[in-house]
Amino acid sequence: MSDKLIIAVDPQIAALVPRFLANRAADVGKIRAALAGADFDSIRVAAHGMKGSGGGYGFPEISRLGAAMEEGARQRDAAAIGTLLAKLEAYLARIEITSDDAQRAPGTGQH
Amino acid sequence: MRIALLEDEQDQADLVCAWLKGAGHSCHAYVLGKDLVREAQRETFDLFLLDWEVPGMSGAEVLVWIRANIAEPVPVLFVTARQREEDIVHALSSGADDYMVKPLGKLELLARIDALARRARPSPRADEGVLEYGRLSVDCRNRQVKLDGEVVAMTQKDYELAVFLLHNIGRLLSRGYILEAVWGQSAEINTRTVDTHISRIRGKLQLTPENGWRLSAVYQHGYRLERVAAAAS
Repeated sequence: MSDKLIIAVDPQIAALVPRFLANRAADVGKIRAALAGADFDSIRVAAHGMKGSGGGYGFPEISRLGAAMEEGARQRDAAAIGTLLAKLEAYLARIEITSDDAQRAPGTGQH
Repeated sequence: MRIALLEDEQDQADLVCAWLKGAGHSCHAYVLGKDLVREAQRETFDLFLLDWEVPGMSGAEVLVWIRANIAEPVPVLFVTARQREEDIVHALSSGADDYMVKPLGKLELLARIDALARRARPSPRADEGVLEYGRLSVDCRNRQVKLDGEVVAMTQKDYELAVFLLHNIGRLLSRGYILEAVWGQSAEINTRTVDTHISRIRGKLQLTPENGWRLSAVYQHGYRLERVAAAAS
């Protein structure tokens, strides 16, 4: 059984989604580097962006993780951010997108 | 509608613009508040979508500028991740017409934009029949303009431009705005085309002060159609 999360995205924005996901993968690297330098403000900014845009692209989980990381940055809670970052990385690795929304509801994952 | 978006997150700006364009609007995105303000001084927008937290001049500061410098009541919708009650109250009391918290939902955003637009400027519908503007009347069903009851011969573009101007009486309209509204977003037409058509319509519909109208060119901006007291004969 595949571990992939097949996520249907709005066909209107399907062309934008690969870049959005690539940018989130880049965020993982940036946040990891910021975490190593205890740069919580940079983490807060990146997490804030994820929180704001994830749901709109059809990835409410990215918004949820972004919101939690933003709060972690405010609390300067490196352990919590590290855990959330690992979850984000794992989540991104599992995503497979389709614009075939006839079968699946947008933003819902199917194993 | 022609919508100005202030959003520093590129992914978010791309997303919102895609939604707006899909709904038939045009989207002009700005990363910096000062850039939006500079453009708003010479361009016309039907609605502003403002993110609060952007580098430099914040969305809240842009809102204050809009209310202080744009004479017409253009709707402003705040879009931000801030969700504290005092932030919402601050935005609304500073002159925002509505407020949405990110992450946004496409349908809700578009519905709120439509609602704001309806309140700001009710749009004449094609099935409304005849709209009267003094000696001028617009027959929406037959797509004709009449002057003193006589049909004025004009091209479809001239008709659309005439109706657009009559629907925006008193409003300062940039050439770019007129182009987008009448010729469409993708039209590769020089803004001088607008000048040519405006001149033609001014003559055909007799939009002159002696007839109770002034269709004036506004330097470095565009045009404004106004009603004036007709000169005594």
